[in-house]
Amino acid sequence: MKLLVDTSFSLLFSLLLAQLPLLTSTAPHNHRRVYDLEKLTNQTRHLLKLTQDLLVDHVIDTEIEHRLKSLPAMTNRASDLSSLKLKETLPQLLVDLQSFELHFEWLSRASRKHRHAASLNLAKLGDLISLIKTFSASLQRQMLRVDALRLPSPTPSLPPLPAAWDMVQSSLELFQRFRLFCDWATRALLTLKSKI
Amino acid sequence: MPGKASCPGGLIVIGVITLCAVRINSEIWSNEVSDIEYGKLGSNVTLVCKASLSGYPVDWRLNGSAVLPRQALPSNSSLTLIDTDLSMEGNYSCLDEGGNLLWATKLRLGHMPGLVSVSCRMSNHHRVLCSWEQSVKTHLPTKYIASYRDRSNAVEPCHQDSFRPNECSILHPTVWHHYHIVNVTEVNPLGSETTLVRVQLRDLLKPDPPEAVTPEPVVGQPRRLLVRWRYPSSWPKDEGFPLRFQLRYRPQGSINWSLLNSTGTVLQITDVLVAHRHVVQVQAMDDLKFGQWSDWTPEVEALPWIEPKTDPELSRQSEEFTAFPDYAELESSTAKSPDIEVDKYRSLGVLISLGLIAGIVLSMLSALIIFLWVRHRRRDEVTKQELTSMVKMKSLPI
Repeated sequence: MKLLVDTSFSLLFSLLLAQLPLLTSTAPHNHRRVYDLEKLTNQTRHLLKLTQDLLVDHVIDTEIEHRLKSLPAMTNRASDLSSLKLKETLPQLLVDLQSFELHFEWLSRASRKHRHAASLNLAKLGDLISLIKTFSASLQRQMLRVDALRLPSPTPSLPPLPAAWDMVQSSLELFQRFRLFCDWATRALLTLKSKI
Repeated sequence: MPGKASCPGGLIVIGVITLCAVRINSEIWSNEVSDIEYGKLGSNVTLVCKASLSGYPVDWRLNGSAVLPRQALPSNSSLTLIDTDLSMEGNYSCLDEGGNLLWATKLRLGHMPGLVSVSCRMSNHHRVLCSWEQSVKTHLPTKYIASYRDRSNAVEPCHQDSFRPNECSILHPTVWHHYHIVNVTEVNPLGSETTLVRVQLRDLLKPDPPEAVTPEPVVGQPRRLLVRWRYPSSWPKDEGFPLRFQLRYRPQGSINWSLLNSTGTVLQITDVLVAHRHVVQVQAMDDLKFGQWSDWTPEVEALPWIEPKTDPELSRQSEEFTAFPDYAELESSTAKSPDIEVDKYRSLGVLISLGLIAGIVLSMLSALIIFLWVRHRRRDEVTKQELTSMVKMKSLPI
């Protein structure tokens, strides 16, 4: 009888000990992850807003041909959001973002070359590139936290610096495509946050 | 629609197949004659009496009558209709000299297909609905073949429903592509014509208006109205597709609207005119500004809360105010609102979950306390026994 009582108490105690870490550690861990994703979402929203502003200011507002073949292909459908996984989505977002970053730096160099054309708000473009770098750093930090595997960095074959009019058209396409990327990234992060 | 272009060579094979299909169908429709001939309106059409011996003259009949159109020129075994118009349509037959039927046909006249006018709409990210109208009324049986492609150039069908021949749906489009090309090919027995339209889904998206807009008075607050509404039922419920809303309101009779913004589905108006009926409308837009604002919801009216008066005459007037039929309807609809029911159940669920968690934690704590208490008691007993045995040991004579 004494042995039975001893065993029961030991079992109960073990159970309690097993539950305690769950009760104490899971909530703050999730809370932290939600906070991180919220921060990333705010960054993409900010990027989206800045890109929308740059498009409003743009000198041309017309349908443009598809010129920049090296930009990431956004083949996602709305139904894909429901099956997203954090460890796979973050590296993909990072690779696409890095590709856009390289294109914007290319555009910035071209804009400086054709400064007289005054077609772009160079200060805002600088802000955008700086924000992209910050977001990229945040994404990489978050990937480390969740042990996500890094994908190979993109190496887009960028065209030579374009002439003034080509630059105007390319910049419009770049902003329009980046706006779509920011839109997708925001929805992906919102969805991932809701799954935690 | 900008970006419209013609590409007649695009779907020749499909066009030919469809042409055959149309022809087969047409033959089935005709039960009087063995064949159907199609001709172009405004052109010269020649009918050849196929069963006649070449060179022998034949007699032509139109709908059984020997009276032929004025511009009909018989020549041996053929009949040429000059500068055709719709009055020349009918059942043509040729007879030999003995009056025996050699051959019969039904002549249908019309135009070649032209470009169509395509318009697309999109009320959520999952489906694009495109419809089109003929720019030329062809008068002939017509079939449409619709497809689309995005930048990756993969051609996918735009799903058509046999009940709606002038519509097609793009299901689960690649929304974040830069643009899409919608291809509608009109095919009739005289030929085919392809219309290509470039659409940017980002500009196309227009949510349906919000639903169940319910303004209600706030008890004790004569300058407030509480307005609730629901997401449009066509909008996805996922977290990835938040909506933003605009609410506008004005006192009845005024032309000036006041505007409020919200990302939630409940809003309190705090500056309505006391004892005045107000008109309220809500519109929705994707929160990431993908697309455009929805249409405004139909106008809904409400009266803010009115302070009860002690004066019998005034109180009678107040009763009259509150007895407005639409106001009463508003009250009842609010009471029946499924959203509120859902909220109630949700709150109940949260309460039960919290209760369960609290129960588990409490029971574990109790178990821990009991366990510690029992251990403590056992230790005390052991200590007492040891002391007793020591005392006994000491009292033993050595």
